[in-house]
Amino acid sequence: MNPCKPSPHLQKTGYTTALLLVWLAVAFPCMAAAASDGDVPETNDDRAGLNFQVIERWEADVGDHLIFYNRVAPPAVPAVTLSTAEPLATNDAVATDLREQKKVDVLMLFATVVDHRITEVRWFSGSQQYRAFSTIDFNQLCGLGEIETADTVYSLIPGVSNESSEASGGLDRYATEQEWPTEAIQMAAANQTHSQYFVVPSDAPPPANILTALDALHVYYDGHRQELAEACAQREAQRLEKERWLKEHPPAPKDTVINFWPQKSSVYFDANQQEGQQ
Amino acid sequence: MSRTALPLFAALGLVGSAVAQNVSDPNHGLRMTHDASTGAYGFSWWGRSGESYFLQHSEDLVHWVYLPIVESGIDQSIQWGFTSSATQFFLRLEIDSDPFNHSASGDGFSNGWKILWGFDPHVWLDPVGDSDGDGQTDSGEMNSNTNPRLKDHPVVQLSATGFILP
Repeated sequence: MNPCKPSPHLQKTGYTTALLLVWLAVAFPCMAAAASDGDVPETNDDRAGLNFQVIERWEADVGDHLIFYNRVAPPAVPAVTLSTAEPLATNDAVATDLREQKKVDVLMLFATVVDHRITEVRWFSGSQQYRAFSTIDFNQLCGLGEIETADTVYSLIPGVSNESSEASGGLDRYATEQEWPTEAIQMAAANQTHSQYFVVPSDAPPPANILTALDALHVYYDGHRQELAEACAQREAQRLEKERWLKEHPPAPKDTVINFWPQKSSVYFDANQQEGQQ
Repeated sequence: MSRTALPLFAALGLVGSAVAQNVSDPNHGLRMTHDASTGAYGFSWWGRSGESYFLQHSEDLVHWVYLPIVESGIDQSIQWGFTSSATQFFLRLEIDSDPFNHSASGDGFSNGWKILWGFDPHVWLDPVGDSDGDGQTDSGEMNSNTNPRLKDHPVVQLSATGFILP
């Protein structure tokens, strides 16, 4: 049996349904028969250095190439070769270094930039969502990897999207439609020499360390406004150049192989169990 | 349509933290981690009791494909490993409170059954159609727990996990 080759009637074409666009898989996975007859293929992932035992394989046609899906048995992790080299530092030295280092944390912000003039920023702390408005165009922060406060280095992960108020007839109307607080509308309208932000009141006060990080972010922005703007413009120019180059030199589509396996599952099996022996 | 499924999150940037999820995490603590030693990715979330989960994969956030997986939450973390030969891939999670009784497309086939056999739960499947052309309708295949994708295959059973038993 060749599990790569489902019978022709399984080669389903794509479909779309606008109303359910969020939900739909527009490429139909073509199920091949499971390898239940003992003819179990193996596949290697050169990049991962892992050997996989394929349990089930099928393919999906996504237009310009195929995606091969392999459900595999959990792979054995390659043995780790221990180094015999002398340690570079003593434990005491490492401990001292660690004491002197700042804490490291991740600052994940979801930003919606409107008209490149004002940004609505959202973040989570536990289950509580917080919201703020900033006069910084967060597009300009995309090249900024981290921001530092007195005691913490934050890896900055901004998820940025852009909106235009044009369809609403201007920023004022857009802000009203979006039920922005008055302070945010005033902030957007004012001509500021320094960046500002405003945190929307919520049930629980926002964590002080996040506010400190936002302060640091705005101070940094004000001190590096020019270079951030230039870097942003350069990134945009590079993006457009790459887009143009790819349009002129479109890469030949390559088929993809996806391997997947359960690692912690309430239903599926671990590496030492066989199918159907649950 | 009695479906109560919910698309949870289109994945996602990589999060380096290896800290396990807990019940209070927003978005079910959904995260993707990368094992630099093997190049494999871990996709994990908090599985809440009473919920079941479907996984979808995409390379472009436009074409989404259901993986034939129906996970059940038992108030523990759930994690699947992935490798991909593509330069980028995305995963997202869909929640269904009763996957083997809900029918998103209203065709009478449950979402869970369709996913396990490689059908899209949102696309209407003709109950009197015969996907594998073996003479038995798809609804007949479902009722008799046989494989709707395999022509003339000996009778097989669908286990609770959707795997084919010899």
